[in-house]
Amino acid sequence: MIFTVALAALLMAPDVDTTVAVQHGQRLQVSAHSAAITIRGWTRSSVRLKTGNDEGAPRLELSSGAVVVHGDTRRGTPSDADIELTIPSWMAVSVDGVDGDIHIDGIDAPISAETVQGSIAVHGGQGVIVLHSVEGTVTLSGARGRIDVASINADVRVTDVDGDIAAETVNGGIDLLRVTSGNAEANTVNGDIAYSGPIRDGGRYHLATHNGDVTIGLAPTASAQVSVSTFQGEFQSDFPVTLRDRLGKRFGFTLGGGGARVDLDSFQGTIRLARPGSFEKKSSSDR
Amino acid sequence: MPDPWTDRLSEYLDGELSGAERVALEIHLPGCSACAITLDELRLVVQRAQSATAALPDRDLWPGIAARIGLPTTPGARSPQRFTFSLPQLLAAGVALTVLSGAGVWSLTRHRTPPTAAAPVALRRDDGPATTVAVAARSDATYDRAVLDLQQVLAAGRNQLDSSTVRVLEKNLRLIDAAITDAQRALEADAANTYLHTHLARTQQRKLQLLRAAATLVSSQS
Repeated sequence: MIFTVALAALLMAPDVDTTVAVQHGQRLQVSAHSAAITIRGWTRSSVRLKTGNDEGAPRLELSSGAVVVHGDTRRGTPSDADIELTIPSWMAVSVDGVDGDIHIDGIDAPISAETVQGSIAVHGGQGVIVLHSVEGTVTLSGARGRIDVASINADVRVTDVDGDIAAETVNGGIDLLRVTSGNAEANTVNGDIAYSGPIRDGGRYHLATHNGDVTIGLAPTASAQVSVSTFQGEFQSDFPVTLRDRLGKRFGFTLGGGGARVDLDSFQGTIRLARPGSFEKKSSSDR
Repeated sequence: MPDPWTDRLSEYLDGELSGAERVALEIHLPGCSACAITLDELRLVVQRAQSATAALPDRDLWPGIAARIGLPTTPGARSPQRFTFSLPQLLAAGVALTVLSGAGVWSLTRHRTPPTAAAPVALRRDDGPATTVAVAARSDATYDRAVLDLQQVLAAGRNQLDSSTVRVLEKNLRLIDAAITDAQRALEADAANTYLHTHLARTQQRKLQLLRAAATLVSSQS
């Protein structure tokens, strides 16, 4: 009987729903141990926190510079109550988690998100964007700015972004698809790398893996000096190129006026040149 | 056949080529991606070394270093002088910079203060080529020591981390170690391969980065 009443009370308990007004320039800081964190942007100048109603519910604090959400209880023990926040789209975000997933959507401001065991998925972002996970997948789309995305044991996927990109993982693939960048670097040890997007004059692109394939989409109008380096891998091109300076399995060639630098390295995988649109469906995220 | 310009790129960067040689190399460069790539890599390492020189340590550590490597200590008598590196020395210096940075961050992490740019003091030395050789020759030992230090931090703090995270970190360290072994074996077969040198250096950097990240995790969880 007691158990039934307790269960009913738990099920009927309303979520905590807190809304506070904020001022331009304030940022959001969220720290949580076990909670899944979802942040969405809206046009209002207020922050709304929605979370489960229990003793361990996250706490929201205001200061002049920041809105701070603590995902632990007042006694300092971790709360596993999920956190849902709706914030002004102009508000910069900083999230620090341990084993919960992080999902951010609709923010036009700098974003920093780090977690150990969870995955990170962000749509949007502007300015400096830093997304790091140890064990989870990192996904970013629709962002503009200086992008730093990294995992250790999972894939990194970046699509439809504009800006400088640094992407790395150890045990996972990297997709940089439909990106507009003048400075892109992708580095993994055990995984494939796929890149598509316009090659800018003066741009620099470096894709490197140890054990995996590197595929890059190059338009017929691309202007670049391309270098290919492998030790035990292969080279394939979907279109004719004139190789020069061949030294073992290292060589280069020039496309158009050679305005950009493209370095493609794979110790023991296949390096492939493709036309844009011909390979994205086979990128690492689909394999 | 080896490119005769490959070994002259460092001299080119240092402005030591004659006028005719410099013009000949500049004509050669646009048509030789291998030299262009190598030159860019050399520039990167030199840039890193120069930026490192700007980060002066709080106290002059050179006398102690000089004493250990058998050079005279004349801290007040230094005159600006440029480095000249061979390619392997530059690559080794790049790794050494990373190692020093890694060790610095580890040290800062261990003392629970916010990580900042470490001071790569060994490259502050600017009065003679002997130091450049010392940097190259000592880089392997320095790297090994930094790796060992960071591994000890991880071993000591593994109980602070979730067991699955420890397994993931160790699995990825093994992956990187395997890649390092691959690159080292490849270099035994092709010691002049600049790609392999660069690849090995970068992979070693990855290992240090991962160990640093692990040390930071341990610190943040304790």
